[in-house]
Amino acid sequence: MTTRAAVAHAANKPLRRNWRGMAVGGASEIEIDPMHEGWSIRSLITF
Amino acid sequence: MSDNHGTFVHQLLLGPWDNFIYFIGDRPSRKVAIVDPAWHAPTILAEAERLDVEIAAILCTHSHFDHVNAVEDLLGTLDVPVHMLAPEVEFSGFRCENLQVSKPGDRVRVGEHLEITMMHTPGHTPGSCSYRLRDGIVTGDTLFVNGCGRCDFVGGEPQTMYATLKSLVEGLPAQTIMYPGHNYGPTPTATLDAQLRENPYLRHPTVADFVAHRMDGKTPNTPLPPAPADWALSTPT
Repeated sequence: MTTRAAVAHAANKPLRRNWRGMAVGGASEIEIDPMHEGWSIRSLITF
Repeated sequence: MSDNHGTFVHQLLLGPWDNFIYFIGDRPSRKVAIVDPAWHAPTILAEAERLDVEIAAILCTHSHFDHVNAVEDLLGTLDVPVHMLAPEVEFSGFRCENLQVSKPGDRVRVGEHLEITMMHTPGHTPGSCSYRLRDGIVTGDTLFVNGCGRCDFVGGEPQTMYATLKSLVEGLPAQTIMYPGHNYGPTPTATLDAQLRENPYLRHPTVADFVAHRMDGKTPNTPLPPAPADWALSTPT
C-alpha cells in the first residue's frame, strides 16, 4: 500500500481524486469548477 | 476567474502534489499563457477548451518535473513558445521544442492587454522565475500562501531565498495578489500585504533566522522525490 493509500485507508475513506478546477477571484470568490470537482487529500510531500 | 483590465487568471489544481496550473489570459482575444503545465496534458487541453481560450505560450517557473512534465505532451498539439530563464535552463539541462531561453525583465505579450514580465526569483532553484502581472504575481515554488519553497533540494539556497523574498515584498505593491505554485495554504491566493502579516517565512528579521527555520530538519542537496506511483490512479473520469 502506498503512503497516500495508507493515509486514505487510515481515514476510513477511499483514495480520493486530487483533480479539481477552480476559478480565482480573490480568496473570497472561489468557484469550484463542477467539471473537475472532486476532493483531495493533501500531499504529504511539500516543495 | 479574476478579471482586471481585460485580463484574467484562472487557477487549476491538478495532480498528486497539489500543483496549481494557471491560465493567464487576454479576454478580448481569448488568448492565454499557461504557467507550469504538468501531470496531465489532456486535462489541461480540456480546460482550455472549456474556457474557450487559445493557448499562445507556455511559461515555466522552474524545471522541477511537477511543473513541466506536461510540456512535451502539449507541444505534440501546440506550436507555442516555452519560456524559462537562462540560469534555470543551465542548471537543469531542460530542453524542449520551441524553448525560449529568457532573461530577467523579458516580457511576454499575450493578446492586446496582457503583458507578463519575467522576474528572477532564485532560492528554490537557481533560475526560478516569477511572472509579474499588472495586479499580481505567479510565484511558482518561491512563495506559497503562508509558506515558501524548500531550499534543501539540489540547487536550492536559503540565503538567496531570503534575499528574493525580501525583494518581492519590499518591491511590489502591498495589494499584489500572489498566485502560488502549490495549494498549501488556507486560501489558494493571498495578497502580499496579508502574507507580510501571516506568512512566518516573511517575518524573520535576519537571514540567519530565516535559514535556520527554512532548513530545520532538512538536508542540503536533497534529490527530488520520484513521482508517486499511484498518481495515475487519480486520472479524472
